[in-house]
Amino acid sequence: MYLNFAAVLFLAFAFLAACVDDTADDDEAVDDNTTEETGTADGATGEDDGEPINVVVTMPFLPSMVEAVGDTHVDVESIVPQGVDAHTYQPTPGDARLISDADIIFVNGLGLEEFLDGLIDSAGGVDAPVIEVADGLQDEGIKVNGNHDHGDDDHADDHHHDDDHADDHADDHHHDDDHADDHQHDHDHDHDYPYGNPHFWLSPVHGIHYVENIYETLAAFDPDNDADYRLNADDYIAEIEAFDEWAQEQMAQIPGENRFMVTFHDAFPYFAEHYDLDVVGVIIRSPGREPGAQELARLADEIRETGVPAVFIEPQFNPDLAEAIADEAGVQTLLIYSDTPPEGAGYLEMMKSNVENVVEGLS
Amino acid sequence: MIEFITEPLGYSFLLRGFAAAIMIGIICAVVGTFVVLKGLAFIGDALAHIAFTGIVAAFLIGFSFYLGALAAAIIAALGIGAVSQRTGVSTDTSIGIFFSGIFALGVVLMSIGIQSYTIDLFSYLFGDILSVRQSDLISILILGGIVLAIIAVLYKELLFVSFDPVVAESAGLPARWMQMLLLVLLSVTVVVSVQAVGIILVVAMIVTPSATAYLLTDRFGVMMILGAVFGALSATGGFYLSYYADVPSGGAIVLVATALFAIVAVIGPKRRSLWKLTSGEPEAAQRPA
Repeated sequence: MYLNFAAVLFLAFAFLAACVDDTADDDEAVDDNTTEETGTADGATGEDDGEPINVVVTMPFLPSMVEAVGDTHVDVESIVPQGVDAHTYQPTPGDARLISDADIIFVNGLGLEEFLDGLIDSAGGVDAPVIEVADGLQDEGIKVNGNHDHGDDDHADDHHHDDDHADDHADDHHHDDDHADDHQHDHDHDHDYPYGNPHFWLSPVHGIHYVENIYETLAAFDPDNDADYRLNADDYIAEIEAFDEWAQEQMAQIPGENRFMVTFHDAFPYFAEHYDLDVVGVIIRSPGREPGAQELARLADEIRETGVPAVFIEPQFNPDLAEAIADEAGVQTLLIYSDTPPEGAGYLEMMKSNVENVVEGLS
Repeated sequence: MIEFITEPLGYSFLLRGFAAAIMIGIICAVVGTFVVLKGLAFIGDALAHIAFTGIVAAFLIGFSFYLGALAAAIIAALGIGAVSQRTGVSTDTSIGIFFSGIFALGVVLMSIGIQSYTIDLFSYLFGDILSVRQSDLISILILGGIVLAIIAVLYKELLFVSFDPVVAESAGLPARWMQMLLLVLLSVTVVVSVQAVGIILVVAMIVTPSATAYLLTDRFGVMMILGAVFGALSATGGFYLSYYADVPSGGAIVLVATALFAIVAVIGPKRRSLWKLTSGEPEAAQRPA
C-alpha cells in the first residue's frame, strides 16, 4: 500500500521535475549533444575548462572508489544515500535531475539497482554512459543455505582443522540442502538475484576489479588525464591490497571450528569465500521477502548445532528478526556493512570495520 | 499428535509470536466489532500509515518511536472525528483525507530530514510477528488490557453512542467525546499491534474476525465474543500453518482468518435483515453503512 502511495507521489513530482528540466536544460542539451558526438574529445574540452567530470554513482560505497581514481578531476554524487537499502530504494526527483546532468553514471549492475530504469525514464533518458563496475565478474554459484551444493561441503572438508566438526557441519548442510530442495530451491535462486549475486565488492579482489573498471572508464572519457588516473588507481589498488594482507592476518585468528557466518541478507558470499568462511544461512533470502516460521526455526537450530558464534546484522535493516533468531540460538549479534558504509566512511573503512567485527564475533 | 502441537512451541521466538497473535486477535476483534458495524474498515490501514509519520517525526526529533506512533495516531483519530463532526463529511471520507495527507507528510519528512545513516523506517511499519520481544508482549498485554477494560466499563454507553448518537446525546451522554474515545481506543490498538506484528495482520484482525461474527449473530455482545473467538482461532490455525507449510506467520494468520470468513459466508445462515443491538433495545434501523 505504501509503495503505491510513494509511487504516486514520486510520479507526480517526477513529472513536474521533468517538465522543469526540459525547458531549463534546452541550451545545455544542445551543447551536450554536440560534445557527445565528438566522443572522447569531449573529455578533453571538459578538462581544458578545468571543469570536473560529473560522475553519478548509484551505491553509497562507490563514491570513495571513484574519488580515489578521479581525485580532483571528478565530482561524485551518490543516488542512494548512505544508510539506505538499495534493494528497496525509491528515487526522488532530485535523483532524476542528478542523472540527467551526469557525464558518467557508475552502477554496480547485476540487477542490484532495480530503480534505475524507471529513474532514467523519468529523467527523459540520459546521454551519459551507464557503466556497470561489476562488468566482467560472474557469480560462480557460491550460495548460502543450500541454495547451491557447490562449494559448501568440500569447503568444510578442506579447511577445517577440527575434522569431526567439519563432518558434522557437512551433514547438517545436507539436511539443509534437502530442505531447500523441497521447498524453494529453484524459485528462490532464480527470483532473488536473476543475474547472480551482485555483492562482489565485499571481496577485495573484486573491489580491485571495480577500481580497474572505473579507471578504464575515466581514462577513455578523459584521455588527457590518463596518467593521473592510472597513478591514482595503482595507489588505491595498493591500499586495497595492503588492507587485504592485514585482513588475512586478522582472519587467521579465527579458529577453524568458528569459521561460519549467518548474515542478515545474502550479501556476503564473496567476502566469505575470500576469507575462507562458510555462510551457513541468512535471515532473509531477499530484502522484502518474509521468511517462513519453520525456516527460521531451522536456522536457529543450525546456528546452535554448527556453533556459529554470531549473527551479523546490517544497519539499514530492522534488526528485530535477526535479534530474535540470535536470541533463540543464544548467540550475539554484530554489525557489518554490505551496501552502504557508515557515515563519513568509504569503501576501505567499511571493509576494515567488517573484518574487525567478523573477527570479534567469530573469535 | 502432541508433538505436532508442541514442536513449534519449543522455540521461544515462535512461542512469543504465537502469544502475541492470540492477544492481538482478541483485542483487535473486540475493537473491530465497532469498526465493522460502523463501516470503517479503512481506518486500521489509515491509522497504521499515520503511525508511520509519527515514527518519522520521532526519529527526526529524537524520541521513542512508540510514543511518536501513538501520538500521531491519536492526534489523527481526534482530527478525523473533529473534521467529520464539524464539516459533515462522512467519517470514511475524513479518514481518507487524514490517511493520505499525514502519510504523505511522513514520506516528504523522511526525504527532507533523513540525509544520512539510518535504518529503514518502513520496516517498522511491517513488524514481523516472529520478531516480537518480551517487552512487546508486555506492552500488548498492558495497553490491550486497558483498551478492553475501558470497553467493558463503558460498554452500554459506547454501544448507544455508536449507533444512535443523536438519541444518545439527548439522553445526556457526551456523544462526541465517546465517539472520539472509540477512535482513540482504536488508535492505541492499531499502534500497539502494528509495531509488533505488522500492518497487514492488524488490518485483517480488526476487520475479518468481527465480520465473520457479524454473519452469525444479530447481537452486539455475542458478535464481540464470537469475533474474539475467530480472532484467536485464526491466530492458532495460522501459526501452525505457517510452521508446517513454512510460510510467513503474519500472512498465514490472515489467510486463515479470510478462509474462516469465506466458509461462514458460504455455509452460514443468511444474514437477517433486522439487526438488534441488544435484547430490549430498539432495532438499529439506521444502521450506518
